[in-house]
Formats: sequence, C-alpha cells, structure tokens
Amino acid sequence: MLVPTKKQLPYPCNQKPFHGFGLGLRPEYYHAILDQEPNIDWLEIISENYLVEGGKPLYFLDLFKERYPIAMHGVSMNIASTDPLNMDYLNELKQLIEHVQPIWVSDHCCWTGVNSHNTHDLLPLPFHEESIQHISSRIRQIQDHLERPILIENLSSYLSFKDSKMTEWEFLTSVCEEADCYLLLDINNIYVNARNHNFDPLDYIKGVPQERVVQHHLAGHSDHGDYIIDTHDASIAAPVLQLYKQAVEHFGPVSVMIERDDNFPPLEELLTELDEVRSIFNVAQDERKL
Amino acid sequence: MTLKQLQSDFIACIYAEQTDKNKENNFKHLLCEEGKITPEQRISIYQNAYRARLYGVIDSDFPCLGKLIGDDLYHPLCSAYINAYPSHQPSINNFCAHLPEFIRYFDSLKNHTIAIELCDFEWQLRTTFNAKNCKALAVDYLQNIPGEKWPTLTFELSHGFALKYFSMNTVEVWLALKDDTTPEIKKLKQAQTWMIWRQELVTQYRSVEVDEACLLQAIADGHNFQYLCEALLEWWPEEQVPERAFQLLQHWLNLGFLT
Ligand SMILES: [Fe+2]
Repeated sequence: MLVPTKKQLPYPCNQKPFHGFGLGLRPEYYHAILDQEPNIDWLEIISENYLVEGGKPLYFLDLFKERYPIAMHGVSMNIASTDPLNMDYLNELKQLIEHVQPIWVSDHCCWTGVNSHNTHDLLPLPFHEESIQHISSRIRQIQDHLERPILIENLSSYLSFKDSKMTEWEFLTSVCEEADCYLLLDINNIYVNARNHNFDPLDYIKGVPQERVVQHHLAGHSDHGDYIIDTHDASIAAPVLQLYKQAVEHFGPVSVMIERDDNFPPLEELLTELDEVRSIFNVAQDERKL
Repeated sequence: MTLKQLQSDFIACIYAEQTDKNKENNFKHLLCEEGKITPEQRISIYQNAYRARLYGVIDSDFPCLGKLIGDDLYHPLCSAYINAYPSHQPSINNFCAHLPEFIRYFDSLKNHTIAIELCDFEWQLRTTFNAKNCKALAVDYLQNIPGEKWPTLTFELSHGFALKYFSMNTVEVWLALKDDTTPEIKKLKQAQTWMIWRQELVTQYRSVEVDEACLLQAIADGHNFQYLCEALLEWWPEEQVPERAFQLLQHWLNLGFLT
C-alpha cells in the first residue's frame, strides 16, 4: 500500500471556495438562461466547445462570463495516455483560461486516445503504481504549463483490469496527492461504478481526501439492471441523490452542479432539480451541525 | 504488460467491428470477470459508445444528408467514414471535415450528385458557423475612397466566406429536408453559384449572378478593382462596367462580408 506524503494545498480544507449550485452551460439553454436570469449560482462550460475560432459560442461565452462565475471542464486533456502531452491543445486551453478567468479548470482522470488517435471517450486504466506515477507526473506538467492547479474527475467505467492492485478511491487519492491536484468528485459516477464493479459507494466517499474535493457533479444515468451507463440524459436517480446527501454529510459544503447532455428538458425542469439538490444540501448540512 | 501496450490493444479493440474477434481476444484476457455481464459485453459497451458518439457528430453536422439518402445508404457511409477517418484531434468539432471528399469516392454514392452537393453545403454551413470573427467594412466605406486609389483597391472576404457551384437545386432540396418535406430533386440547366458567409453571428447563403461569382472569385484570388472591372467587360458594355462594379461592391458591403 502506497503511503503518500501530504503536501501544502493552495486551498486548505476550511477555505475551499464554495460557489453553491450550478448548471452545465449547453447551447440549448443559452437563451433561456439569459432571458430568465434564473437562480443558478455558477456555470460549468465544456472547454472544447469554445476552442473554436469565432462565431456564436464565443459570443455567448462572453455574455455568460459577465453574469456568472464559470468553471472550465475539459474532455480532451488525455491525462493518462502514454502519448506525449498535446501541447497545442494545452496552449489553446491556456488562452481560453486567460479569456474566461474561470473559478477552476478540470478534466478527467483517464485517457481518451493513444498513438495519436482520439476515441473521444473517457477510458479507464489499471489502478497500479505505474499508472499513478505516469498520471501524476503528467498532471504536474499540465499544472506547470497552465500555471494553476487543476481538478481531476473520477469517471464512470464499464470494465476493470486484472492488473489493478488497489481500489479506485485509493488510486485516485494517490494520484491527487502525488500530483498535488484537486478532485472533482462525480457522485453519479461513484454510484455507477459501485453498481458496475460491485463495491459500497460510501467506502469510496470516505476513502478520498476530503481537503482536495472542490467540486461535485450530479447527473442522470440509464440503469440496465446488470449494469449502468452514464448517459446524462435523464434526471438524477434517487439513489444518487441519497448518496449526494451522504457526501454532503461527509465533505461539508462543496460546489455542485448538474450535468445534462442529452434529451434536454425545459430549463424549468433543471432548475427544479437544482432546487431539490439545494434542499438536500441544506438538510445534510443541518444534520452535520447537530 | 506496459500501459502503452494496454492502451494500444484497448483502442484497437474499440475500433474493431464487432465481428473482429481477434482484436477483442488480445484485450479480453486483461479484464476481470465481474458481476453478471461478461468481459465481451463490457468491451461492446465501449465499442458501441465510440460508434454512437461519432454517428451523433455526423448527424449533427449533416442534419439533412441522412434524410436525403435514407438509412440504407447513410449508415454504411457513416460506418465506412468512421473506419477510414478515425479522429486525431483533441476536438471533435472537425471530425467530419473529410466527409464531403469521402462521399465523392464512396461506391454507392459517388454518382449521387445531389448527396455529394448537399454534403458539401452542410459542411460549409458548419465551417462558416465556427469561422473566425472579423470586422466587416462599414457600408459607407466606398464613399471615402479617393479617386486615384480606386484602380489598385483590393478587398478581403470574411473568414468562413465560400463559393459553391451546384449542378442540382441543392439548396432548395436542403430547405425542404430541413422542414421535413419531400424535396423535388432537379438537375439545373446551368450550374448555379452560391455564396455562404456569416453576417455577424448568423450564417447566410444566397445564389449569385454569373458576373458576381466571377468577381467574388477574383477578390478571393487577391485581384484589384481594375482587374474586377476588366473582368466585367465579358458581360457588360464598357460604359456600364463602373456602375455594375460599384453596385456589386455596395451590395456586398450591405451583406457584411467585405473586410
Ligand atoms: Fe461528470
């Protein structure tokens, strides 16, 4: 068992910024959000959607960044790949970061391609020492290049490797501590993996370093009985909300947002869902204080 | 096994058509047996997700192509394209960039002119939509040019401006498909030129006259006002040339694509 050394963090555990309750900004909601100015505390963008030369996406981004705190969430950093880091991508990302001035920047603890191919999917890898060293040294290089810490997100996965020597949460903990980065803990992904790989999701929540958890994702999935697929095309499932409550009880206030990427309902429906998240948070916080 | 090898085998397995069991076997033995679903089923989740995502990108970049040619032609086209042009870019935005070329050589569609032209048109709309912003010249720009400067005056077209030559009533067909109505497909007596550009944030398209098309091409090639006027002599008597040139320039300034 690896025993990582604790490092100094830019946000100590009691000073983590709490931005409240956010939504994933998607073009489907541009007009509704601008017109209604709804009760949303912050927005998360998919960085790649704005790595374009011009036109509507960047125009809208400028409108939103004047109105809301923005987090940048990417899908193409390819952190765990054995290919060299894509410096062109990182340079473009850095330019966008300078433009947006986000509250933070995140990507996934995974790889998306190798041998210069990109599957545009979030792919898992074995949880062992070689992976930890590989990923954490890449995150350090990325953070040096971007001149800021990043958050890495746990992903949903549908297979696991015989080569793994530890649990996913032990792996994630070691990566974060070796790389000295933060965690975007997706509560839905924990639930999905707990079902797909048969573990107790609470062990996961209790097993990651509390002081590094800066953001939560919540999303819907599709449950096929024997396995679950992370689809972001439905409302958040009841057991995921239940797990979120346990996460709040454990972690305290952590900025949270809903990811919706398909089968888009009217904005009102997402706002109602976000209100539900708020009230779960409040109940859990009250219970925590008791 | 090294991470590099594992990743190479995984990706080969994702790319493999589901009938290619060899590639799957190379990878399958690395996976845990867990729960009620087998390693093969777990692999197929990734294979399906990969294809579904790229199909989704083609669908959204070419919203009318599938409606035009029907599933029996569209699915094999998408599938062959995904196999022929796996993505090499961090961004998925340009995944479909080769499709307008690919369809020209795709056996079952290479003689399907309307499909080829529609594919080209849809991709151009997509490209123009995301093109770099530029500042259009003011509509009164021409009023402030001193007389002696006119002959050597040059213009630039905004990023994302394109000319397309269609031998079919392609744009009409596209509009019908967009409205979910059945298009009447016709071959034109004479090919028609269309220009596609972005006025501020809105993508526009419009058919252009023959002399207009020729001048726009000349501007794209970097020619000056004097050259444009000489070119117009092919269609207009000499005394009418300056008026026509001025009229076209003013028209283009109003449309907002001269920079
Ligand atoms: Fe997520």
